[in-house]
Amino acid sequence: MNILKRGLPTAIAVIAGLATLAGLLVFPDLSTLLLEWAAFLAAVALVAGILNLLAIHLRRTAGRNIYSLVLILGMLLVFGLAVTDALGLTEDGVGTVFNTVQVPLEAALASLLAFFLLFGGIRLWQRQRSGWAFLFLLAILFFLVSQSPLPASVEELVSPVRSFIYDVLVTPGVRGLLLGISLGIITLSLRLLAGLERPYSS
Amino acid sequence: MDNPLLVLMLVALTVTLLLLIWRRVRDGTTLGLRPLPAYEALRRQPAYMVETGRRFHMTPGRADLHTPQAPASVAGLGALGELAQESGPSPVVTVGAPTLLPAAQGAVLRSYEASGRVAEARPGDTHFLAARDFPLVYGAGAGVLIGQPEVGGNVALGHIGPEMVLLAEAGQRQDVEQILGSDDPGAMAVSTVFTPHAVWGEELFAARAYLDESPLQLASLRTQDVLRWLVAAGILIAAALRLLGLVG
Repeated sequence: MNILKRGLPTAIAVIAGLATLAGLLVFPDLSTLLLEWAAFLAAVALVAGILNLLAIHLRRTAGRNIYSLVLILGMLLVFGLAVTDALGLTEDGVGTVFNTVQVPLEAALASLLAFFLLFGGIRLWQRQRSGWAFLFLLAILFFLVSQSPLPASVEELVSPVRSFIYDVLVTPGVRGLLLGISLGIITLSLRLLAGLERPYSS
Repeated sequence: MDNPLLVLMLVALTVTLLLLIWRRVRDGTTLGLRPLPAYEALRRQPAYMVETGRRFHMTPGRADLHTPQAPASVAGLGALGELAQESGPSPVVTVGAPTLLPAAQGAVLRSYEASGRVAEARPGDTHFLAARDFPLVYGAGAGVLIGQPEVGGNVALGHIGPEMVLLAEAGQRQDVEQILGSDDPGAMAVSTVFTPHAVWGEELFAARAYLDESPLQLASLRTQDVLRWLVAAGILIAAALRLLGLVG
């Protein structure tokens, strides 16, 4: 029983992983097929995820949570629109809801991120008045100001400094970090391929 | 894949190094871990949760398991499994990718099974909040869950992008200890602003080595270190050769 519980998932995962790697190297059709299966399973997982979300919020609605009720009504509305779109009763209803509700809300949230960061930087400065915290706050302020529309004379002064920071300080640092991350990914992937790391069984 | 031979050589080198170092560790060679404040804080989390009766929020991010970013989230799942095993109340887990939902539920359940407390596990407290194409929606939803009074810690380790700001801001508002790490350089920078326990670069993949300290995890970490030195030496040699005009 234990062998079935532990050994079978490991064997399937290792065989699938090695087959995909072999496919990527020498049999592209095989890896494409396996990746298509994975994408199909991911779509099934998405349905399971949505049902999980619905179940959680239905439970919360019983506790008179108004936000959960709004979420459920929103889900039902979009699902209804998808059905009427498919039946030809409405035209691009889902797209309209997406473009008029989802996109502006995400854009508004994204525009707030810079300010969350700025306030986070200020709090960091209050918490630890170190040279690094000061430098971070200075960098946030500099990039917030330098990315905004500036008079041509100021832009001429700021632009080379911004380019220097990007090209000489930021880009090499980011590349160094990404190299380290790639090495971590390689070792973890090989542990997964060899069945030494098993996130799917104990 | 552009150069299969190069990939095979890299795989062979890494596997050989890993096996050699693993054997040495199993034979009794001690590999010291350099102190990382983030993982020392992470180790303290379960004890703190048991003492206070509060739960920690954990996320492995939003990389679907069939995507190239998956290893970062798998590393986060590993940390989740180790933490849940020692923690008191079952953690609140949020994911931003559907395939991570069963994986995270399984990690929590298996941890409680392993520690003989399966009845205490609450895999239903693993929430799928939004698909991976909507990072800010995920971040906003997770922020609400982090803001619950019962949450006493925030651990975000995995593939996390701009939504890190929202997760970290919610944790800061809740005034809880935060351990934040990602494979995204922008999110890493954000982590530094919000917590002294930021996990940088390849340190993300060292979580299990620090929590578990098994020979395999330690060997894997040392392999990563050796590869990093090899890459650094390669870059320096290539730069020197180019400077001398020996290569184009």
